Amino acid sequence: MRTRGYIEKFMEENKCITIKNLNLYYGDNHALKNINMDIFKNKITAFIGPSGCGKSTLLRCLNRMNDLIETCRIEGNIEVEGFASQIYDKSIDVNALRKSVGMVFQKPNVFPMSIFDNIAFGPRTHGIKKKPELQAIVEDSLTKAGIWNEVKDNLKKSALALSGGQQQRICIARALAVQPEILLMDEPTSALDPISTGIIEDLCDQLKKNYSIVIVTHNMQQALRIADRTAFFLLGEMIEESKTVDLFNRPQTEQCERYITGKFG
Amino acid sequence: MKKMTKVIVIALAMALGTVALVGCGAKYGDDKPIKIVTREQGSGTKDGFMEYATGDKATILPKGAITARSTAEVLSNVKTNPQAIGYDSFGYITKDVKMLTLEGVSVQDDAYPLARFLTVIYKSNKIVGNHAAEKFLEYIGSSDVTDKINEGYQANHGDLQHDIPYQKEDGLGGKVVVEGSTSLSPLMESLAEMYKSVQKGVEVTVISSGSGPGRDAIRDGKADLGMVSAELSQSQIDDIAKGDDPSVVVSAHIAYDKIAVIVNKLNTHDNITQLQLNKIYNSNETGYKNWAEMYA
Amino acid sequence: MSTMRVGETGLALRDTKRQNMQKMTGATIKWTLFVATIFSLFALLMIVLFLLYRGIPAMADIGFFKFLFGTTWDSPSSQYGILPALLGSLYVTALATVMGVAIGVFSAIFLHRFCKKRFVGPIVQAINILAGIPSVVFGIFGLLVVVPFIQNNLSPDVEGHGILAASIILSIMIAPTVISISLNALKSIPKELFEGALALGASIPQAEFCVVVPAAKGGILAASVLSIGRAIGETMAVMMVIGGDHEIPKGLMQSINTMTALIAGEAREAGGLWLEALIATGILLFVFSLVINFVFMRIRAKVDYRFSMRSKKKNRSPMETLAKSLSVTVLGVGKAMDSDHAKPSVDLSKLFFVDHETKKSNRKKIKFDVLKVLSCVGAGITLVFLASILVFIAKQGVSSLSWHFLFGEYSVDNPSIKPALLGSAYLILISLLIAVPIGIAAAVYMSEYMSRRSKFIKYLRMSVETLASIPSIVYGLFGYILFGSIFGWGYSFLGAGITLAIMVLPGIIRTTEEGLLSVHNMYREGSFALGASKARTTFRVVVPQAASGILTSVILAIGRVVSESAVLLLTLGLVPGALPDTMGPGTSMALDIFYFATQNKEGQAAAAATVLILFVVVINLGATQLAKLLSRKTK
Repeated sequence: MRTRGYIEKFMEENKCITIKNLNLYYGDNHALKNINMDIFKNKITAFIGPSGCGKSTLLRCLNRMNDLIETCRIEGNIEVEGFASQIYDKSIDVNALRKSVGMVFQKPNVFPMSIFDNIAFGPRTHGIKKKPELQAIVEDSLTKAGIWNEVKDNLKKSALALSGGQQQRICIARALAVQPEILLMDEPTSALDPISTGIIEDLCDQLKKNYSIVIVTHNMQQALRIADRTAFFLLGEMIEESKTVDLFNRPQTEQCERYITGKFG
Repeated sequence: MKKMTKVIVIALAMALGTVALVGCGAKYGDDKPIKIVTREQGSGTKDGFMEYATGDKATILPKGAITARSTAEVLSNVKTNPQAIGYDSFGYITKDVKMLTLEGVSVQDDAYPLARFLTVIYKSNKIVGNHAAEKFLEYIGSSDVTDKINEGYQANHGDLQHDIPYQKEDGLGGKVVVEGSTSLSPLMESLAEMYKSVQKGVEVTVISSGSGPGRDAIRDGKADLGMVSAELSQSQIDDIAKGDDPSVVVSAHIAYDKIAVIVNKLNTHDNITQLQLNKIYNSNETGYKNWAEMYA
Repeated sequence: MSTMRVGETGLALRDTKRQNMQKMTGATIKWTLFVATIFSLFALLMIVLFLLYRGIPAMADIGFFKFLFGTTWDSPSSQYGILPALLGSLYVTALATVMGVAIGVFSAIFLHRFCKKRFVGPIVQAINILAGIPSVVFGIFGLLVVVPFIQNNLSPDVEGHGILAASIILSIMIAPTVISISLNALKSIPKELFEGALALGASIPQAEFCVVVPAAKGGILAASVLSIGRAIGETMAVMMVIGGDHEIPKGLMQSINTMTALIAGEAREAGGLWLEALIATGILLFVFSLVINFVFMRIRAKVDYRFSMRSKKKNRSPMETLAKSLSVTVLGVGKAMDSDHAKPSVDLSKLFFVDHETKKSNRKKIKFDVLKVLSCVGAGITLVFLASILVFIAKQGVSSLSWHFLFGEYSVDNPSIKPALLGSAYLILISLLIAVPIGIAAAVYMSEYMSRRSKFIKYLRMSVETLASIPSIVYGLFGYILFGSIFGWGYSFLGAGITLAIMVLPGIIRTTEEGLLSVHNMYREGSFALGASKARTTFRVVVPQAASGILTSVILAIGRVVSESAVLLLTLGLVPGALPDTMGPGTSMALDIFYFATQNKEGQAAAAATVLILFVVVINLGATQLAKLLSRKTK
């Protein structure tokens, strides 16, 4: 267990996030209905389901990105390891949460700055100013993201000059630089070519040794390839959640089975 | 069709361009109407002229008069409009326009009937507070400036003396604000420049806004000296005094300025009478249909 | 459990002290920005209250109906009937708008469809130059070329002043804006529409006039409404050619007055009831511009303001940026106009020429060829006028240009524009020092901090728009009375600078906001996801990306300050020889041009005009280049 200076919240071994009775509304639209699930440590959990089923919405709840949307209203509880209260409690500093729970987006959104500055942005935000410290963090993060060797001689170059796949890895490095425990990925490879996709999937496999990953994906094969656990969503509800092999080979619900076998997309 | 379009466009361009550059010739026609040019309300020049022409400075002008807002604008208007007639301070007339004789008397003549004093006004109780202003006043009434004034106006006429040389004061500094008549401003600006070379520490600012605003500025204390191009009436004196005894308002004649009647250079006529002026500048009169009728 | 920690430095965020400090800084920043935003509301309120406070009693004194419908305006007898000037304003506006929109729209169509591609760029640049020419330069062109021309060749009464002269000048002043906006509107029509018409057998002019132009009618309407606003508020150029007589307009070539010329011409001499009557006239002007603006905003309110702001940022000249921010409304209006149809409708009956007799179909097509010629003519007129103005200025001015004229000491017999150059510089300094920080802060607040749905932002936007539509002469009156009279400063650079600052503020806010909104949301999200606070995200990620937009807004403001004359006439006075003095009167470039022109020194006026035009062209070009440079850094 890591000491944080807060009162430790005891969680059951192996769990890092617990979602209890979560309901989300966009205005009158009931977008997430009574979600109850756990995310496990050092595992890759995939959210799958057809378009509009709420998987991205749920993902964005986990680091409170939905706070940016005005009409959004949340009921229920999300507990994240290391935070004394549930994360929607008023006492929680949302910036601290986002440092702990990092996010990688669908479209690579590197800042128009140098590679170094992109990675250093997070640490600088959280108070690290000294050059040698920043340099160490940048090298460390780029290495973890598997891109250090490709860019180490060109850290001052603009990040926008890189290819799409490289940019996405920079985004991953950037997220890692603030030392999160949990990494959320919202369809991280849907905008990339197959080779880059492969590279990033391998990366996820390496990263899970030290981080817990939740990944939203449209691509069932991807879930099969990399996820330890998978949750299937439909129309705002979580229909089924279990070990990936079990979900795909022995789906317990009819909806899940129909989705997996391709009867609807 | 394309070619035709091009030709039309180019031809149009050339035509308009030429016109703009050259300007179609201006022609004077005796059979064409008279365009009268006048000055704005509050202008001392206007008051002086209207008083002479119609007997009353408040006479309302006929429709169609062009209102020029300064001495120079009168010149612009008369210069560019062949049918125009206007009046302006003699000291300001340029070679671009033609001066008419008035009742047979030319402007250069001493007997020219239409003139007024260009006057500097101030409040005696206020000017003692600004020594630089007092000295400047002394300067513009001194013999040092006679020649300059005589360049366009008459320095010595009647009670103007200009016979004492100016006493320079070493180390004199300060600010003097002079505001008022546009007729007097050019002269005053020249005098101010001359003064600067004599008394280097004094800054004289001349604001050319009109006799009316000049009077107001003295009344409100915004200027040290005011310039007006007509004699102050008693009611104007009372207004300027604003609570003080009317005697604090002092008028000093600086120059004697004749008002010339001017027409466009293409105009074929040479003389005009007071009667004719009254007829064209007075809305109570019937006026003339065109230049020919005036001289019929 | 991870053992991969980098050294001993933990990211000490859980430190409560740091959290609180961050919260405090964040709140302070937010409040500072809020105050800046309130400022524009406050300024508007001040101006309105002020005008009403001095003007309404005047209207009551004169008699409301006597004021509005009286036909005599004569201060010695205390008669103040505004009707002649009111009608003058209306007629001039109407004719100028019709002429200006016609020329502008046809020119835009020409540029959109009929112009050879390689000429389009240069012509658009030329039109940008035309747009940058200050109104006082148009004034002297009118005074020295248009008026004599009408007087000698068109008028049976040998009268060159009047509605015709003013309308001609105004229409050329309006045309560039109309062209920009219409061109944007035309370009936004998908080319599939045009190609579809061609595929049905329409000729090119036919397709353009029957399908594309009607589809863009919303934008063209918006351009027209904008022009009306501009025409009714223009002062200097109109004042120099209108004549000045207080007569009911009965013909196109008759010396008359407009409300703006009336105020500008008499305010400096007026006092007491006379001045208040002028303020009342200012209120009328304000009301007119409010009404026009209101109509405009109602149409625009139907559409999401943000829609076209998110479009890709290209390297635009300041003029294009201005047009873009104005054309938000264009597209918006266009969308509103066509809100009933999903796509702009194609009127097939116009296309049908199914008559098998070729003669009939050819006849129909000729109609469009004529229209095509008209559009070439329209563009031709615009360019010819531009050329005439430039050539005229150069010809008149070149002989007066000298080292002494530019940098020597001013004297009456040998004038120099040095005081004016310094004066303009000083004014730019004062006004931008005030307007730029407030404007940027307000724009940041409105775009990043403010809740999109709050009522307050609607009122704020409205007040910014209203401030932007107030005619400059009304600003001049306001400055004259507030700073000159109430504060007792008389004519002063400080008073003039503050007035100018309020005048350019809406423009800065608008353009900066557009720049900020065009920064894609994904950058904000990326920053937030890293745990950055709102302030940090805004100032470290969003604002730097909007730098080119901010710079453009500053450049546009400089151009506006340097070209402005009506406001300065009433707040700075006109002392051509005075060097800049914070609490004293002085002159500026545009004022000097006016002074020389009305003092029978046309050569000097033209020379000064040359310098001013050169300056405006250079900063516009510089702005485009800088914008390109900056966006290259971020792309």
